[in-house]
Amino acid sequence: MKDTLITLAICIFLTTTPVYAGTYLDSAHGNTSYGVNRSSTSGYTKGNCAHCHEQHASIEGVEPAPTGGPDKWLVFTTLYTDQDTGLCLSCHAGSSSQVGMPNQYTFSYKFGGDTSLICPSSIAQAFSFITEGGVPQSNCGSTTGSSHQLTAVRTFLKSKWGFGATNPKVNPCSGCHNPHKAQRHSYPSGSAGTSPLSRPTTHDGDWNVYGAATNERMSNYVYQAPYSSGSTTTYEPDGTVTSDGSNMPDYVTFCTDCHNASYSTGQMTSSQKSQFATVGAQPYIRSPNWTTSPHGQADAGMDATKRKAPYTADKNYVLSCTDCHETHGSPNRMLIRKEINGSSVVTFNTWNDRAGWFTVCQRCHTIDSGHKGANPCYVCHQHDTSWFKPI
Amino acid sequence: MELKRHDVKILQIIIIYIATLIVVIPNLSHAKVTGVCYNCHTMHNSQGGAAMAQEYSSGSGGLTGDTTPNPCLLSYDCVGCHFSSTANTIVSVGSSNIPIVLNSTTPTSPLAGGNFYWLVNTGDKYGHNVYGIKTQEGSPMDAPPGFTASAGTPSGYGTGPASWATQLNCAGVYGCHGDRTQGATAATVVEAMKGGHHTDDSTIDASTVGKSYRFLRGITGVELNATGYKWEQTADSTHHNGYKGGATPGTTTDGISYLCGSCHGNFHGHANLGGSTQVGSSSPWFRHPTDFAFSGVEGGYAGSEYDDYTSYSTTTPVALSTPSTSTSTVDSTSMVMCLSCHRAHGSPNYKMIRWDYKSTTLSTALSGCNVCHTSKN
Repeated sequence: MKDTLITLAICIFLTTTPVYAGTYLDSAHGNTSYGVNRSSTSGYTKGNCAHCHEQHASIEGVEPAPTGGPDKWLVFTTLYTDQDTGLCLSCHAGSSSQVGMPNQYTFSYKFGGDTSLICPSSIAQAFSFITEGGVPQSNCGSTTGSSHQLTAVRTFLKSKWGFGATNPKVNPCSGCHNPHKAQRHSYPSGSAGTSPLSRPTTHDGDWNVYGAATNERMSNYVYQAPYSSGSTTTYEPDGTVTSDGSNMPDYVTFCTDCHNASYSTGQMTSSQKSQFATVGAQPYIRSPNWTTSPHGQADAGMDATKRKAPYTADKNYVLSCTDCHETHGSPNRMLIRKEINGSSVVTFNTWNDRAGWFTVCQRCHTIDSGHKGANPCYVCHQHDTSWFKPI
Repeated sequence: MELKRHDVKILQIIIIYIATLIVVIPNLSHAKVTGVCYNCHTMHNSQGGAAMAQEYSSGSGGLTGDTTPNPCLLSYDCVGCHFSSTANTIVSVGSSNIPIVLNSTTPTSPLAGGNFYWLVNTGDKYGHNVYGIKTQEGSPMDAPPGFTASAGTPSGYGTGPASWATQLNCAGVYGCHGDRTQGATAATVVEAMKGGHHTDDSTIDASTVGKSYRFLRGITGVELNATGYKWEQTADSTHHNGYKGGATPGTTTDGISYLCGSCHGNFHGHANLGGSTQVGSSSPWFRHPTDFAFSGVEGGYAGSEYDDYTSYSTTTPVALSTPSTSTSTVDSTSMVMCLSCHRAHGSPNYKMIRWDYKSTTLSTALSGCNVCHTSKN
């Protein structure tokens, strides 16, 4: 009898397979609690395709709001119109087409932990630090902010990695996100994890989420997370004692899919570049070369005493791009975060402002006020150069 | 014995008569309808002093007698004949089997086109709102969504109405079945079906009403008539209707989706209808494509999400350029059609969808979509 019961139990375990939802049902948009739920199609359950895609652009003989006729890929509005208008920004906005859209704060707020940084409070607002043409405009009390310029992103993606060959066929948001797979980021535990990211270089392949699997995290480098806001004991991105990047997508690999030296132009428009000073014929906007940069994989051999906590160990640290940069927009130039390494004192408005540079660099480096004369930091330090230009 | 000349003449007449019967009777045996005439017709609309004509009444939800005779001496109108107060969806009258498209009680096994039961009992959004079954909806649903004026009817048999002037009918100018150039009113709609039920339909070539798929003049396909599966009362991957489709929206005008598009013009990409302006193309679509083969999907079929739909699904069926009732394989030649998602008459689901697209359980709501869109599950 006992043997029979054991055998039966084994059979039950062997034959019982866990039920997994598919990738869309695992995504944020497909989530049955907080997934897509357009106000004009709220009769459908959350996550239903109908909230984004209109099979006929007609329900009960009329087009659901917003009107304007059918759109490419059956979506409910134009993929991209301008810096703060388009399909994604119809919902990821303050005045949202999504029922009950929560606020979407910056990296400094959400993962840096400074909850006083309540502006911008939506993705659309984060992109609104610049105009369509890339010129800074007033937003969140800043007139010197910056955002990923979506037109430039679209142009850059065009005809790459299976993206459309013409502007109207490219959604710039898709450069970083797969709308059918992007997940609300949670903090991975063990082998599980979520990520909102998908590498653009995989767009013509599986275009899976990136940063959820264990081999897609910052812990694959010698990484030290910055402090959470106002703390010296807890760390980004989740405000816990975990600081090795095992809970952090590998933003280096992700961002350098686009921001790398093989693309000498394209990441910034001439309009954006003109916002910054040049010295001679050299534009001081350069793609990061992570293999030669001491913020990357190169070992600068820097005296660890010249670094601040938590970077005081004698290690060749690799930074995540997000340790210094916002992902969508910032009140500072160059997407530099307002809050870096536990403190929101960063004010980086003009390229030539040495003091502004110091508010950034002194978050992690012990730089005295007399360091190397009166030049702003960029004169010596770039993303792509050697140990004495360690950015 | 030597036959007299008179006898020879009689014998010749008899031989000719028998020969005629040999030719005619087999044809009659392939007619849609068989059996004695009084199964469907009443000579005087009077039997024992009582009227024989009956029509379906939306008011009573059943058949009501009518002292006014029906056109063509019919005992019933369209709905009346194809109605049952039982749950059966195939009813025998004499030697004829009648497909039932409206039951007054929940149909046990709805046929391929679905059932108007849900139109009557659940609401206007669950069936085509046909004259005689339910009162017409108000604007804008008093006309087919996406209506295109004077659209070409299937196989070029004329054009549709210049405007939508009346409630949808079973057949005729404002209907789906029969000759779409005849029968513009409820009183004359029978003219659109004239001869159809008596036609030898052993070949479906769309040349006449009777020789068209399901009396949809100009539409071809293969009708499932196998015993036990007739009209898809039962259906599976190897027993199903054979729907005609086109590899691209402009390919054909005799496919089932073109039939739908001849009223819902903006939803079909044929140049006679909405065209690419309304529907787009594979790069990209503006509206959900129909009459489009998987082979043409953007990025290629091999390795696409459609590549994983391999076995015919009666939930989300496909069309073929050469339809078959037994083909179970779904491949690059398979085509999405209107009936991949919708039932023609009615269904228990919102907007006559073949599955519960409005289910509060998301996986159920997307279950039909995911048959083709296998990566969006």
